[in-house]
Amino acid sequence: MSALILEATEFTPKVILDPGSNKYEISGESRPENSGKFYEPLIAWMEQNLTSVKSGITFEFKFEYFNSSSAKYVLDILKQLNTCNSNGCPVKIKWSYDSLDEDMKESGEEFSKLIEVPFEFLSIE
Amino acid sequence: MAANTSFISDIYNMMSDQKIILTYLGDITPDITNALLKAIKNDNTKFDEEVATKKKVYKIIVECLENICRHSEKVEKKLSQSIFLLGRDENSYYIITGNYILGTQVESIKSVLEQVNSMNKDQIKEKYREILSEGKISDKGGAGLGIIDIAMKSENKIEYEFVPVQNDISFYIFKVQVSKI
Repeated sequence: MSALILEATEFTPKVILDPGSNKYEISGESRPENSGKFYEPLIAWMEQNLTSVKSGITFEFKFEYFNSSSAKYVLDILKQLNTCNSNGCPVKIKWSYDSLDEDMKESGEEFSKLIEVPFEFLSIE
Repeated sequence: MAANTSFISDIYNMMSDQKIILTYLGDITPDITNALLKAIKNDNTKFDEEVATKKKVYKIIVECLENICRHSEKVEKKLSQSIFLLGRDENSYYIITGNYILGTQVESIKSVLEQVNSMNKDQIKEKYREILSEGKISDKGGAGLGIIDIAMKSENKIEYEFVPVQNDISFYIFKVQVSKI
């Protein structure tokens, strides 16, 4: 199973979706000019590759910032993870935020209300 | 003989007096948006506040500028000139934008603004979740999520005005404040 790894740009986050090393992470700033163009391939990859993972997934979100049109796709990613969890693969979601950024914590709390898998919140100094 | 440039002093004095950090008049395209955001992110001279306040202001500016990009796509070229302003007073930062929109857009924008201004923080959060989970957002945003996001972060009421310019065009002025943390 091949990994999907994208380096961060000024407008898009760093993405690591790597079943081989069991590392799943999105980090940085997300304000693509067209959010669908950036996120749809990620979600398609998850659909294709994560359904067969049974040993457990820990997915880390480390956003510095995401715009409102990225938010819709963050929810889609979370929904994919929720499906994995319902299908018997234990999923852990970690939501990291800058300790000075209460808004980022709040965004995570709002997302966590929309899916069943509980979030672990990590404040980064 | 000195060139007739005394208005520069006027602009300089006005901007200093009003504590304007940054202002821009012209087309607000994705490229300009990026340039403005970069300038704001890297400005540590006039913008020496708490990191938390700076983050909040930055996030709101992104949504404001993206809103303008989105709206101005629909207006004819000669009316694509918009204004953006970031300033501060004693207790807060303020962001003002002005851009042309189609008359047909006024009512829908106004109804979102009236709605968010009538809601408390918990109600705004609930509305945010509702729009997100309904998935009515286009790839470029929209569905009012940007405005709701701004209201959620600023925690202040939004001020706005629609000035009719000609038959089917209005100038849309938007002002939001971020209290210093």
